[in-house]
Amino acid sequence: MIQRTQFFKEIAMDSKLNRRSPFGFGRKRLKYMMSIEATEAKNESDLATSESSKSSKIPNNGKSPRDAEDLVTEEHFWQSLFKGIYRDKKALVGLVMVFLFILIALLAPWIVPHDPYAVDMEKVLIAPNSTYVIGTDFLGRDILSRIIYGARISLVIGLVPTLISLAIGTFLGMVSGYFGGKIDYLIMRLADVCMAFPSLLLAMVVMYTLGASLFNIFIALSIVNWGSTSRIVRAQTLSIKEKEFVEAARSIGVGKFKILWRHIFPNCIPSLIVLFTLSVPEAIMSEASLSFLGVGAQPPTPSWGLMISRGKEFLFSSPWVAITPGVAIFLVVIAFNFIGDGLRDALDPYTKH
Amino acid sequence: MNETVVEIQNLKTYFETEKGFNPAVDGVSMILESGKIMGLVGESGSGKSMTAMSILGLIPKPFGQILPESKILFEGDDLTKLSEKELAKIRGNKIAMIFQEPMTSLNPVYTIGKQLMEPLRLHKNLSKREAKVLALKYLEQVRIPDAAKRFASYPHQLSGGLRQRVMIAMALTCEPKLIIADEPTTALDVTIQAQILELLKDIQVRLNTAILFITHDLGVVAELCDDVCVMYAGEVVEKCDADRLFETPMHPYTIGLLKSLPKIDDDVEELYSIEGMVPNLIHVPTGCRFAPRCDKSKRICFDALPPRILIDKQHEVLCWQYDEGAWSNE
Amino acid sequence: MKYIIKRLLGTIPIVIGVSLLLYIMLNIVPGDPVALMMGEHVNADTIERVRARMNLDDPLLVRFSKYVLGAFKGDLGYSYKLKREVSTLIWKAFPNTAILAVAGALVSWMIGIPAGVISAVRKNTAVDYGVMTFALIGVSMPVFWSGLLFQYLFGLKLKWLPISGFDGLNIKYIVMPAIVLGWSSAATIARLTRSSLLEVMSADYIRTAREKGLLRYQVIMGHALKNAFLPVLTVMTIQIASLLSGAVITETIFGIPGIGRIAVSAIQTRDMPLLQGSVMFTTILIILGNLVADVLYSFIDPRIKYN
Repeated sequence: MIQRTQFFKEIAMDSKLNRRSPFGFGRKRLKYMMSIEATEAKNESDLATSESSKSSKIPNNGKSPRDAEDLVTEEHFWQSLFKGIYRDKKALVGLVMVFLFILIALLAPWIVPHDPYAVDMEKVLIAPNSTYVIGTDFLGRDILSRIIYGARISLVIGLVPTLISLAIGTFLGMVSGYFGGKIDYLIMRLADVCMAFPSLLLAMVVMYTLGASLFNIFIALSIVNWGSTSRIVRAQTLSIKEKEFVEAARSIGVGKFKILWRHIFPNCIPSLIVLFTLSVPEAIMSEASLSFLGVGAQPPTPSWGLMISRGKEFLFSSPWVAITPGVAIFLVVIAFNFIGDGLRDALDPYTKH
Repeated sequence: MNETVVEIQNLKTYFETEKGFNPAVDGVSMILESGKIMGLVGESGSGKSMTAMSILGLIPKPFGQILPESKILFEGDDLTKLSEKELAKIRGNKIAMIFQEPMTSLNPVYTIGKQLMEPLRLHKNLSKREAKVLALKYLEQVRIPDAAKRFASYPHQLSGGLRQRVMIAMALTCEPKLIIADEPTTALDVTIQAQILELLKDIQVRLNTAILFITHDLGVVAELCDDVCVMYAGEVVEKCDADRLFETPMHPYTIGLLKSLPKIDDDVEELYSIEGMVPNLIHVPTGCRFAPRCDKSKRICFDALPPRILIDKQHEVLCWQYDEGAWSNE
Repeated sequence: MKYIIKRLLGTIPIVIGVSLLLYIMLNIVPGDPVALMMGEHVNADTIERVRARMNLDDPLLVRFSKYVLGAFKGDLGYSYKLKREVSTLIWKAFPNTAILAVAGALVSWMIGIPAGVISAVRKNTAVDYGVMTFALIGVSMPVFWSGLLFQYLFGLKLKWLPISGFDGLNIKYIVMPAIVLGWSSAATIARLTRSSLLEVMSADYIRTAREKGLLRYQVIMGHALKNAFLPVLTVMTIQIASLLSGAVITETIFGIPGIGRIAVSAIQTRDMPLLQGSVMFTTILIILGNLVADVLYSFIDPRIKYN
C-alpha cells in the first residue's frame, strides 16, 4: 500500500500531474510536488552542466528543460529501461528469480516429489529429511510439494487480478481524462472512495460478501486496486491529449475511442509497466494475507498464506511448517521488488550514481 | 585605489567522468581588483561557472578536483589549500556569490528575513535583533519596496526580480571583498535585467568591491564590465580591457562572438554563428582547442598548443596568428 | 484557514461515498440476516417481527440513511453473534488498536528516518547499500510471516518477550507487535527519506546555503531536512492506513483484542453489523487522519497557504 502510494507520487511527478486534476485527496500536496518537480527538472540540467561541464544545454535558446523533457519518447523509455536493468545487477537477479518462479509454477506437476494433497496420518509433522526435504505438515503432506503447487496459485494471483485491475484502471483513467466533465468527476470521486479504504480491509469486505474462496480473491483483488492506476493514467491522458498529434488525429475525424486506443494508450504503457511490477508482489502478498486470516483460500488449497496460517499452531514443535512457505513468499516478492527498483533507478536520475 | 583582491594562478579543475578526465578549467589565471568588474564570457560548458565554484571551493567532490599546481590567492591564503572549515568562514563572508536562478536559489520553507540574517548570524556572531537591523538595511539598499514587510515573506511570494534582489542583498550583508555573480540576469526579463545590472554597478561603485561577472552575453559585458576574460573550452583565450575587446578583438573566437551579436544598424538577413560546438574535452586536441571551428586555422593550430601572447600590458591572447614567426612560416 | 475549510468540505463526499459503498456491499449479501441471527428454530412470525423492527423491509437507501443517522448518535447496530452493541465492542477494542498503531508508527519513524538520512548522507557507500538492502528485505517480508519469525525467535527460543497477549500499556507485550507492524513502514520511510533528501541536496537553495558559508552538516540539518521531510510526511500520513490494516494481521498473530481482530472474527462468524461497524470506523478514522495530516502539512509548507 505504502509502496504503491510512493510510486504514485513518483509517477505523479513524472507525468506532470495536471494542475486541475486531482480531486479531494492531497490535492495541495500534489500541487506542491509538481512545483518541486519543475524545480528538479531544472536542477537536473544544471547538475548535468556542472558535473560534466559540457552538457548540450545552450542558454536562452528559448527552450526550457521542461520542453526537452516533454520530448522524451517511448523509444527513449525502452532504451533507458533495458540499459538500467542490464546495468543493475539487482534487477537482473530479480529477473532470473522471477523466471525460475514462473518455471516452477508451470512445471509443478512434473517436478513435485510427492502428491501435495496426499494425507498420511502416519507421517504427520516429520522434520526435514532426505525424503521430505522440508518436512511434512500436520496431515502428513509433503510441504515442498505444497509450496511448489502454491507457486501456481501465487503466479495466477499475481498476474490475473493485477492485469484486470490495471485494465479497469487504465480504461476508467483514460475515459476520465479524455472526456472530462461529469464523467471525469464521477470516476475520480469513485476512485477517491476506493482509495480511501485500506485495500486489505476492502478486500476483506468483498470476501465477506462473496464468500471465502480462492476464486473470489480474484474478484476482490481485481476490483479493489484500480483507483491509483486510474489516477495515474488520467493524469497522463490529460497531458497527452493536448499534444499536436492528438489534435491532428481529432481534426481529421478519428473516433474518440480510436484516439484513446491508438494514441493515448501507448503513451501510458511505460508507467503501466512499472505499476505492474509493483502490483504483482502486492497482489501475491494480499492473497497470502487474506488466506492467512482465513478469509481467502480454503483448505486443502496449497496457498502459501493458508499454509502459514495452519502451520502457526505448530510453531513451537515443528517450526518448518509455518516458516518455509513464508520464505517462498519472501523470495518471490523480493524478486519483483528488485525489478521494480531497477526500473525506478533506470527512470529516476536521483537514485542513479 | 584598485588593489588586488583575488589572484588566480594557473587554476586547473578537472572532472573525473566515466570516460576519463575532463579538464573543465585548464590553466586559468586572472587578477580581480577592488572597485572593478571583471567579465567572464564564454559559451555553456566553457568552464566559467566552474572557475567561480573553484574560487569558493564548492567543486562537487570527489568527481571534481583542483589540481595541486593551481593557486587562488586571497588575503595571503591559497584558497585551494584551505580546509573545509576555513573555506566556510570565507564563503558568504568575504567572498559571496549570486546565482543564475533566483526562482530556486532561495529555500522555499524559510522566510526571506531568516535567510538574509543567516550569513550575519553565522559570520558576524550578531544577535537576532542586530542582524535584523542590518538585513533590513541591505534590503533597502537593493531597493526592495516595503522592505520591512518583505522581510517576513516567503520566497514564492516574490517575483523573480525581487528574489534576485534578495539574493544580492544576501551577498552584500557581510560586505564581501569579492562578489561572484554567475549569470545573475539570465533568467530575468529584459527590463528587470537592466535594473539588476544598474544595481550591481551602483553597489560596486559604492562599496568598492571586486565583482566577477559571469555571462554569455557580450551586450551585458559592454554595459557593465571593466575587464573581460573570454573563455573557451576551459582556457582563457583572450583577456583585455572591456572597451578594447569591442574595438580590437584579436582571438578568432572573440571575433566570432562579436559578429554573432545582433546589431541594430545592421541589415543582415542571417545572424552569424560560429560553427560547431564546444569540443568534448575528454579527448583534448593536441593543438589549439578552437582550431576545428576556426576559419583561420592553419596546420600549426592543430599540431601544437598556441602560445599566450602579450600584445601589450592590457591585452593577452592565446593564438598562433600573433606569433609572427610561426604563422608566416606555415 | 480557508484551505482547511475547503479540505474539510472535500472530505465529506468521500466519507459519504465510503460508507455508502460499504453499506451496499455488505447488505447485498445473499441470505436472510435475521434467520442467520436467530438460529434455526424460530417461526416465520418471529422473523417477520424482527425484520420489521430492524427496518429490513425498507429500501436500501432508506436503511442506509437510518444507519447513518444512528451512527451519528453512536449507534452502529447490534452484533448478531456477540449479542451486544457494536459501538460498545468497538470502543472497548479501539484503545488497544490505537496503542499498537502509535507504537508501530514510532518504531517506523525512529528506524526509518535516521536510516534514510544516514543512507543519503553516505550515498553510494557500504553503509548506504547496507541500509537499502535491509529496507528492501523489510518491504518484502509479509507481516504475518515476520510476526511468526519474531515469535519463534524472541518468544520461544530466546524467551525475551511474551509470545502473545496484551495488557494495556504494558510495554512487554507491545514491543514485538510494534516492531513487526512498524518494520515494513520503516523500510518504506527509509527509502523515501533517502531519495527525498538526495533530491533536495541537489537543489539550488542548497548551493546557496553552502555558498553562505554553512558546513555540509549544517546545510543538511538547517536547510535540507525540512524540505526533504515534506514528501516523507505525505507518506507518513498514508502510513496511517497501512498501520491500521497491518494491525488486522498483527492483532491476529499476537492475540491482541483490537478492532482488526473484531473485523476478522466478524467475517468468520458472518456477523455483518460488527464487520460493518469496525470497517466503517477504521476507514473513517483513516480519512480523518489524512485530513489532519494535510492540515498539518499546510503549516509546515508555507507555499500551500498562499497558493
